[in-house]
Amino acid sequence: MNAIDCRGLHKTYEGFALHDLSFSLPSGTILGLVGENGAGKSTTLRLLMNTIGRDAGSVSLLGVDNQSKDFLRVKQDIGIVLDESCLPETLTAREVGKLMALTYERWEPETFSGYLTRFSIPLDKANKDFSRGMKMKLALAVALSHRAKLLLLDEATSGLDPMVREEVLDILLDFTREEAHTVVLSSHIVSDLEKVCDYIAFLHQGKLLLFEEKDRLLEEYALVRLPAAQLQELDPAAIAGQRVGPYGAEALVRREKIPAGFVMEHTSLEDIILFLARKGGEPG
Amino acid sequence: MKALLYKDACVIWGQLKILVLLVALFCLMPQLRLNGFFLIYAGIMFPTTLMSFDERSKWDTLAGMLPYADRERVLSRYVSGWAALAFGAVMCLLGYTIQGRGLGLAEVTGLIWLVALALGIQAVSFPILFRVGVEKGRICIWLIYVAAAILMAVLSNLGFPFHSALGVSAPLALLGGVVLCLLSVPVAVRMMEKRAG
Repeated sequence: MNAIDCRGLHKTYEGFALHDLSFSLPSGTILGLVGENGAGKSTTLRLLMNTIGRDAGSVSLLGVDNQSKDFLRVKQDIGIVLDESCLPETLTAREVGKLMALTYERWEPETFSGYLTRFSIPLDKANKDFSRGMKMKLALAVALSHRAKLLLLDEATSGLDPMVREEVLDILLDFTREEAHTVVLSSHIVSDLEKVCDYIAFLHQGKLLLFEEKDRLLEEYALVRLPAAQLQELDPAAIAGQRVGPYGAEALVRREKIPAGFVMEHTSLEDIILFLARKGGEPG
Repeated sequence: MKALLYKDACVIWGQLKILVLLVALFCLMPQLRLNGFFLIYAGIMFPTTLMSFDERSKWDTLAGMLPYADRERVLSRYVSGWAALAFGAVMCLLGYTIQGRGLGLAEVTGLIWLVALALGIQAVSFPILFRVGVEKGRICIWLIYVAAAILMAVLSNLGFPFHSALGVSAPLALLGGVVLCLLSVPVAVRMMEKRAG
């Protein structure tokens, strides 16, 4: 079963448009949503949750159309962390716990307390006095304490120190050990996504440039370094992106289209994203 | 809706304690005109301030993604307005008792009229606030009331019989306020959905 089915999603604002977003995410996987500021990551998450109206397209989460009446029930199964904590400023962690106990039918106070202890979040300090990292940790503790089946995390790891980021990523990996559990994680930190994600969606200026399994992406693309003049010897269809400098050229290439004899290097997800963003077009 | 009301109670306790005290103090004052003003002020200002806190912390964005129906989110605002009105009215009644004025017909009728007026103002204001947000909404509401005041002044100069119009019984006015408010709830829900695009 797919946790998310998104077909032909379109949203236009003044000066920005999200075009024809279509993808399906199988349950039990982690999707990394990557893109520059203003690429449409937060808009995508809001469209998935139907908090902003769409111009066209359809979305279903956990098998339910997000504009149907049943979607309210499905929201019980979705954990949310937005790029800002968004919890009322004066509420303490204890009060947030009580609020969420009244909100979620399957709220687990012990799990919440466990996360508060694990993240060293004080119980009786107002949310407004927390650092950004603490606020994100509190929001994560909420998202993980009501037996959600789908987590939507918008920049949830930004603002966290590397140790906690690592811990959060481990928690997400643990979460998806259950087959029915799915995570969508939007982030600028591509190295985080590379560590945990099964799928990568790359949004660039409101267009979905790629949606692919991470391992397949890393297998498909390679990096070649060569003199600039030698670039022309390559099949243009093989070049997904290139960078020409005074001392030579670097190109992101499709392995299968490169003739034998060229030395190819393993590439990182970050390289792939940067090259594709620079090219700004369809990867092919 | 219990969750949303609990959240509002926490925010009032955390950020508006002084304001609650001030409203209580002024509602306890003897002059009906003054405490009447604070009664109406409480009924409008508390929910508006709660909305502005929600917008500032972006709680309204998060709440849209949590399992709350749109109707619950809107209704909780009205309920907090009604609770503030009830609190102000009780303070006014308490004020009359403390001052030994007793609860004469004039006081009770005056109070009912004030509550009816406040409900009417809520019915007009809340859909606007849900449509354009608190920042712009406050300006819109202010403009509407200025326009209404000018219209009343013009009508008064033209000899409109306001006294006989006010002769409508207080319970009828209260009923009108309640009906207006109830009619305004679905409009406010629609406005909130429109704002979301």
